[in-house]
Amino acid sequence: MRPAFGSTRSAAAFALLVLILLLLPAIVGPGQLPSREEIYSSFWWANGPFPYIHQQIFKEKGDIDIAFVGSSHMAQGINTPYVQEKLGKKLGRPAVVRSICWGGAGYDALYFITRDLLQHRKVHMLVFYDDYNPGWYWANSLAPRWFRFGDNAKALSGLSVRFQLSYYFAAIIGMPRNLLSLIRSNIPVDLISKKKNYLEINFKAPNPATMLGTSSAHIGFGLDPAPTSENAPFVDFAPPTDALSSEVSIYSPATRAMFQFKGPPTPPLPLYFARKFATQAQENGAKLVLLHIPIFSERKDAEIREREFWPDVLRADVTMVGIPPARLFAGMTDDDVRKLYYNSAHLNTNGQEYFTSIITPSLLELYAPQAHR
Amino acid sequence: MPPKPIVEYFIYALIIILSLIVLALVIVSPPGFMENKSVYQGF
Repeated sequence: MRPAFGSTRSAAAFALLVLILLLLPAIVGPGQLPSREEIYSSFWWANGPFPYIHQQIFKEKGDIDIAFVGSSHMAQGINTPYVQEKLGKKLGRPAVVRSICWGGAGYDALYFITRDLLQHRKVHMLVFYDDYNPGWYWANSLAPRWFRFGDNAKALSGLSVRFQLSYYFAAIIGMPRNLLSLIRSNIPVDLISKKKNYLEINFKAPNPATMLGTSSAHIGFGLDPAPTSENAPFVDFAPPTDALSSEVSIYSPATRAMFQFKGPPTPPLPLYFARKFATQAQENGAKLVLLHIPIFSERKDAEIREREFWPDVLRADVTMVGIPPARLFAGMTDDDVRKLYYNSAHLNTNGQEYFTSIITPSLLELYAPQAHR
Repeated sequence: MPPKPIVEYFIYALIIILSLIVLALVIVSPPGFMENKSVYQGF
């Protein structure tokens, strides 16, 4: 059998190479890394509307009245232009409402990406929801992009060694891309181009850059997380919204019966970053609103089912708002409800427009005190 | 002049240790780290 290495010298060179690769994140300090803008200009549309997020964090200036932040669950749940229009009418001035949302759930992504947002833009109200998360026992799959040990090592100080190692590994994987950005800058993706982007093609929806960051899915119900040819054809379905806005509950002692907190407890990793997210929002003067976006399996729930009583768990002033799913979907058959979703966790265009129109008056009510600050 | 055996043993031991470290890092990390896509939510 041929030896793995031709000589002791080549074995030593290999060992040195591996050692350097392993140590690079610890060696390259924040001053030697490229700007964090390079991170965002290296994403493509399939990871979510990152080209739009890049533009919002690093190019556009000025305050944001309301930012919806989170994964695709939030991106697909809210029609941002609708909220902006209604808020503008209420304020009597042009409002600034944005969706800063991406692909892949996780409070770690929520913390790190919102951190970049808050370092560049003043946000008056952050609306978030990331509780539906099949992958949250792990670090977010995009961590090798936005986690850099040189920038973010301190943020790991309260985590177990196992999770610290996981993020360190993310930094190792991301290091070649960062070093490349030191040599030359990324060319940002065109926000709007004649060639349709991944989201326009696969979700048959408008470019999120033309929708203030909203992603909608103009497709029918399917079983897979991603749209496939197995998804049902899209059928326009606009149930009456009439008096449903009055059924929306903002948590208070008076509305307590509308909420249910029955666990299971949040695992340590997401809990750690959820708390850090809440703390940084408060340090930056952003009001925190947790918006319950129902998933398909909750359609018959008479209460808003939350895992935790979030103000206590996050140790922060968090306002919880939602509508009991049984009221949201009252009078609808299961087939009707399916017309509002493109899979079990994500609303489609029908559901987004329906849910947004019902929830918006409560969001504007919650924003009112911020408008006078 | 060929290197002394002790150096050779040290280098191969280092390679084994580094390989085990890489293996440990892979084990504690999600599969999506190695992919250039989001694996959970469909975009």
